[in-house]
Amino acid sequence: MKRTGKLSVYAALAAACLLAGLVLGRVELVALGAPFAVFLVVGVSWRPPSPAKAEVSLDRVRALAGEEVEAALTIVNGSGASWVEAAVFLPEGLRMQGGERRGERTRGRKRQADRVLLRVAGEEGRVVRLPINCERWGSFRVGDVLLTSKGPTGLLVSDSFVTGRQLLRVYPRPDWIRSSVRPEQTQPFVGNRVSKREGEGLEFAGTRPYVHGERPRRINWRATTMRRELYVNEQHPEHNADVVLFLDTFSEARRFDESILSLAVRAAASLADHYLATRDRVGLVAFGGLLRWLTPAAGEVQRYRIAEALLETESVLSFAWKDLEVVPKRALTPQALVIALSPLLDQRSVQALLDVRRRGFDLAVIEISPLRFVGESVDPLTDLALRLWRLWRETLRYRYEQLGVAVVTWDGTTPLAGVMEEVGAFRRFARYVPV
Amino acid sequence: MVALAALVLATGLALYPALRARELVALAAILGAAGVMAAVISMAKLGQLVGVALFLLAAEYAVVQVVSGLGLAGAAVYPAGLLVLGELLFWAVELARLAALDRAIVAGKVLMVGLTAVGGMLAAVIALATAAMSPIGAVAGALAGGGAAVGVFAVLLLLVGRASRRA
Repeated sequence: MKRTGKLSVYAALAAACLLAGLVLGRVELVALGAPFAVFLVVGVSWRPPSPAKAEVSLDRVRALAGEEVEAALTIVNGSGASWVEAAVFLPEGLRMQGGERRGERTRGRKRQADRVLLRVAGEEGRVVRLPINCERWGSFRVGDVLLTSKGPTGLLVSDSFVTGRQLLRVYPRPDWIRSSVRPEQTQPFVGNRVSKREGEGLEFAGTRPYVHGERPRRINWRATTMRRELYVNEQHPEHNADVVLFLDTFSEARRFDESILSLAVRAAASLADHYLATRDRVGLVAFGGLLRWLTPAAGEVQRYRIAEALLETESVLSFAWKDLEVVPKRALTPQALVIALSPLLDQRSVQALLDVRRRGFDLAVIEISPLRFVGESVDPLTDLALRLWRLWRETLRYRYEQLGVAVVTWDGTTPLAGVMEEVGAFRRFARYVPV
Repeated sequence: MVALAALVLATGLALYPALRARELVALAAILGAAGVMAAVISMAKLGQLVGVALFLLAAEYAVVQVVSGLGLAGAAVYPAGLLVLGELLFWAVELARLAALDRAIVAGKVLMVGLTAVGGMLAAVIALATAAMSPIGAVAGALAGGGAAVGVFAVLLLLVGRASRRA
């Protein structure tokens, strides 16, 4: 239990008035202090409030960025308290609807909190529904609440802190992609992509002379009649492809709520959703200070695995030189299409991507533009430096394009579908040279 | 709404002694204006100047009361007004930092402010009445009256507490 500022103000005012009345010999000044003295006595002798208890539960533990989650705050009032003020601490990325955040000092550190004042009659529990906006993706622990129980006069309060245990996972909202970048090579597993190889399938590939033992239904009678020997039809089989999303987490830039990493994660989630929907196997390599990977796999389980892995993605500062050698071989499966999501800022990831291409992988780079996060140039020297830096980036892109790698810039303001179309267009006209 | 009520009351409390003052009008006006200003700032800056506002208004009242005199009616009403202003200012500050407010609280708070006004006036009247009837001197009588008022409210509180425990 602790005193409030109100108690100090009223006590000082009452004492000053009574003292001034005595010194100046004025009854009216004593009368001025009397109500404050009475209020103090009444307030202090009222049964002091005992700490309240609270629990936060969410209506669901998974949501998409931009969605609303309802939190139920259950408060059990301590005895003697007329109302309870609850300061709900929400992590960065979550915000109470209509709430106005203010700094709140608790346990020695200042945190942002949304305050709610509730009347909790008696000692019964009270449930309050609080709508929470999921502003950005991430994994958040929700439910830290500072409860301040107040008596009716508000002179004495009792604080209690409740640590939240509820975990809320907010997944990035995937962008809609109409057509994906078609991998050059397919894997031997059944899928939706027409393989370049010949075998059992639906798509007609060509004809060839009959070999003893082949099924008679494959015989192409028209070609056989024309050439006077048995010819059979050949088809392209339907296979799937391996797609590895290569996330560069070495460098990070942030402006307001947007960051390079958040854009990269959004794009990765969209691409993973799209390729998994087309029955391809999707893997993930987060290449940065901390290396994480998921071997390519297909299906709904992999979708959740990737989503979970993306939530844990963060940029970790590291000065250690890392190259492709640190990436496990099974994370970069042979003949996989590697789609890199990188701002092309860190030399380690730039080099690693060049190595990926030189090792014969089919590579496409979606460059998450860092220009959006660069401030305005304030003097000619900064302007010159900025222009040189842009030229250097142009040169870097040209280096990739010379190796047959599509590099398309995405700044998050345009739909990802457009970027994928651009990658597709480059690959349609660029000649694919297996290295 | 609460902030507006507090502002109106603060202005009234600042104007009342200033308009009744016959001497030191400028000082009273300055103290009153500063008091209102402090009240406004306390609502905007969240409560740091509530005490200052109350002290400045009380000082204005004391100056005018000592120099010019405000009469018994003013002496009974003004203290209650100042107490209610304090309650409104603290309430306004509390409201300004809230994300959500339980509607049931408003009724309880209004009732509390009403009771504070009545109780404050009663306490001032008891103090003044005791001073007027006191055979031991006016100030000593007023102090005794203040004590008596405290005693009256303490007994009332005790009775209310017992009744609520029985219920």
